[in-house]
Amino acid sequence: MKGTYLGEFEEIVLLAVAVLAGDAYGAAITNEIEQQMGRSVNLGAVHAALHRLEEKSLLSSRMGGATAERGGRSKRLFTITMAGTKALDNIREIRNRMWENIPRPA
Amino acid sequence: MNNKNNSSPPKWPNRLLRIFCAPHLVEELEGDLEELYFQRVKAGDVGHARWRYAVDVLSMIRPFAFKKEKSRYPKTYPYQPAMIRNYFKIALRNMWKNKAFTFVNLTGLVVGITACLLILQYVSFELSFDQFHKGSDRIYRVTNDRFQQGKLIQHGTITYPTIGKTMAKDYNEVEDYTTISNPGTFKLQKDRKIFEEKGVYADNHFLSFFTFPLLAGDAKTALKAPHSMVISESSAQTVFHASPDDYSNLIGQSIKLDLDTEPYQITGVMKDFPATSHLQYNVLMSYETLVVTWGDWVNTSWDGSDMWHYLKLKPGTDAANLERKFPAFSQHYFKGDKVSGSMEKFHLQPLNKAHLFSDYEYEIGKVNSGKAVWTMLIIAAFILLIAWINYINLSTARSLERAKEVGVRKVAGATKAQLIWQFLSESVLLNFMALALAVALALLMQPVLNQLIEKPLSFSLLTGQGYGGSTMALALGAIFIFGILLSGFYPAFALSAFQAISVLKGSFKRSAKGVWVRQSLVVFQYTASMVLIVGTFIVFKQLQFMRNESLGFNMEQMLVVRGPELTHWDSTGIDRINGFKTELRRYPSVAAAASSGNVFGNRLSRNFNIKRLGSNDQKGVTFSRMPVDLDFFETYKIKMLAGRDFLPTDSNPDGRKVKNVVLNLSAAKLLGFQTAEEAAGQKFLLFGKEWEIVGIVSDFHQQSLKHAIEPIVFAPFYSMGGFFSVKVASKDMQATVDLVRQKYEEFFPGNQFDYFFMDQKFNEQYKDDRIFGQVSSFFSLLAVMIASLGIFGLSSYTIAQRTKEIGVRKVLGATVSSIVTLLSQDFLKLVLIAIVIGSPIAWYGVKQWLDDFAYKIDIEWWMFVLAGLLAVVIAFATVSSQAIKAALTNPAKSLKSE
Repeated sequence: MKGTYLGEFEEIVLLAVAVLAGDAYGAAITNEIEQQMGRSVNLGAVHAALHRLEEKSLLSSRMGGATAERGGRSKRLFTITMAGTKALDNIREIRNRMWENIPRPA
Repeated sequence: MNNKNNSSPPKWPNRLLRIFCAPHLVEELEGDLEELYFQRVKAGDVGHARWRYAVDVLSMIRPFAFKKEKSRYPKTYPYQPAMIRNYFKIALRNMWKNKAFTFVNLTGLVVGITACLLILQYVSFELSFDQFHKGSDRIYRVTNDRFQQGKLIQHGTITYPTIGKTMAKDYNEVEDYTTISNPGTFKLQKDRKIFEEKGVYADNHFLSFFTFPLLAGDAKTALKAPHSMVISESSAQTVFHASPDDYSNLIGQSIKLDLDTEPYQITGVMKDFPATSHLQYNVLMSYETLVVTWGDWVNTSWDGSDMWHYLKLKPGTDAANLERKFPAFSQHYFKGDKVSGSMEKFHLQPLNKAHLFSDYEYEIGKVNSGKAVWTMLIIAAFILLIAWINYINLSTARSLERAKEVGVRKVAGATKAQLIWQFLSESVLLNFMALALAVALALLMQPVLNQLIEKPLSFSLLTGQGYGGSTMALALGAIFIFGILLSGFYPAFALSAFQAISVLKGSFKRSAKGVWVRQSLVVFQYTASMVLIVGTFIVFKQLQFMRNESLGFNMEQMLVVRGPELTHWDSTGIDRINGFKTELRRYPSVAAAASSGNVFGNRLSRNFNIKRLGSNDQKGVTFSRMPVDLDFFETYKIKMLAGRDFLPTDSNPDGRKVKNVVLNLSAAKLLGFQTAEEAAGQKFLLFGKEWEIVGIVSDFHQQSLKHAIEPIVFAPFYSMGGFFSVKVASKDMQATVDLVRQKYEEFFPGNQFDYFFMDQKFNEQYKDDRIFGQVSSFFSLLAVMIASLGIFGLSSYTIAQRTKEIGVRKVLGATVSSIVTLLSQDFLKLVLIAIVIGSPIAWYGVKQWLDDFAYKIDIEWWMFVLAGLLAVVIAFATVSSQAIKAALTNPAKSLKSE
């Protein structure tokens, strides 16, 4: 099943990583989702989703620069892989197709 | 950020995070947490920020956070065959290198395991009694306690003939019952030859109730008709010289038994009873025969008792529930003490208790002391533990030698787990070698042990045919494997924990860590040794006491001949018996001769409800009885306290006319007389008849010192079924025996001449105790030896460690004796602690054992001191030999190196 299915929250996290393009790490992604969706999100949930997505090879990560606001600790920066982009495209295509298939009221 | 109004995030969630989170994730997670925290603080609400911080941490308790980081280096598979082969190779080389150590280690283990195996065989044999019967857990024996005026007067396995069948009829819970009676030695006569066989009268249920299979004949009917007899395979062979093919031909053959005029018909041949049966008989006679010879009362009586009853309960019956119905049973059939003269209480004794845990009078079978068996089991456990502790101590003490090896292995990349496996495999190897040797040794020693304790032990326990079946064999295997692993674990962990740096730097010293473990193990070993030494000592003291205690009668040089049972009793009986005695006395080699109905050492029968004449006391008393003739007291040198000995006129061929008796002092006192003189000439009532007390004799131990002195009434009855006691004056015993035999055959032709020596027969009562003493002391000695072996190895090692220290001390002027004291001190301290711990345990143990004896030695403090001293001496001897050797070494030699 791995890599074949994206949960709703996973999809949102994946989108957030794509939006943040190159500067996606735990705290930033959390902020992005909270702002975009207007709801509060647990950091743990975000990290869990990130780990799952990385296991599905939709994301890749590397350790990145530290900043003062995090007490000098380095962050893990996530980038979306080709497979990740493809997965997002795929979902979007399906949704578009389904939208178009909704019968319009006459 | 530089917010002044804020504090740092809360501490505890961070601590929690570090506990559950994999180390490689902590940094990024903490970073994210802190970044978000400060952003939220900046947004305004500190409290909210702190709250979210905690919630975020808690939300991280998820599988992703627990996962360990993948190693960047390829992992070696720890169980590679090559590596395991190498472990064993190194182990063998190490054992070979330290031959002396290996020897001590191996010897301790082999001896310990062998002893343990042998004892377990014995325990298994004893515990497996009567388990071979189908449904043995549902079989119970009915026991009967009798009370007169609230006092227990008989605690027996015998009871009234009607009990078994009435209980089977009254209670639904009873599936079947069987009744047996009149067990004894019977004389089978075939072709003018006499064969003595142990036998019993058993009812028709017996062969189907118990699992004693027939080889020929029909189990359902074999014991139905009067004068039927079933014989065992071995008696078929000795009496009829039958081979297995002939057994069916034996059915219907007739054979004479004792004095019975009617011959018995063989109706069956049964397999010999297994050695683990508490009932041991070679012949079974039908119970119906007793109806013919003894009368109908053996089926119907509620007051004459000589029967043993066994009940088999239906599956799922609670025996305790059934027992609760027995008081009503007694009330209904015995109406208080109206029917039998005493209050009757009945109990159910599980069949598996009949051999080991039975303290009843009139015991029918072989009874052994359950305590002795448990003691042996405890000794076995002690020995095994001591042996394993030795192993632990010796291997850890040796660890220094191998510290360098551990260091090099670690530097070369060995993990701790690998080292643990290595040392564990070493101990497994050594232990299995020991186990294999021990099994072989035990097999070799089994016949010797069997001869010593006179029991047919086998290795059935290990093959799953002994007590507890294959479960027990598996459990035993599990215990051994568990022990082997456990004894290997401690050394393995101690060795693998060495730090490579400190070991290889060269200044590695024995750490004090772990010393207390070894010391407490030594203390345990010596505590166990102390308990065993005290136990052995007291067992021997008690045995010695019983052998040397004055019994109150003289049984030296006493030849006892069985009475001429096959001669019919008639009016000339008394004259013939007296004639035989007179004839014997004519010879100078015979000092005295007497006849009696029983001999000492045997259980005496009892008379109940004896009342003193002239007293208003309603209550009767109970005496043991013993028929003796007028020469008896003189022959056994029993002191007459008051009154006179029997006269010829006291006896009469017609037993009903006898009315004069002699009592022992206990009996006189029980009747209420203060002194012997007071009792002489008085009378008492028994069987509705007046008896005159013509004399009083002093008390004596009529049975072993396990039994109390009983009140006894002696009556001048004669019978052919008793015993002749012949006091031999000559040194030439064989000639005298031949003389007595010749006269016996002249006077009582057709009888078998059977004799024994009174002292041997009497001391046979102590046989079980003697064997117990021998066996337990042997194994205790082994345990102490193994413990010494351990302390020997340990001390030799610690002393070797201190060679330099000793050298320096000697250079500075220490004497040999001061060095020996110094080196022995450590160990003696441990032994002293062990003595302090062991003494109360030993005291409790021996007290339990001594409780079985009516007459026993006191446990005194000096016994413990002596045992303690012995322990100290043993320990000192083992340690000091090493210490002296070390102290005598030339310091120039020990200081030269390095």
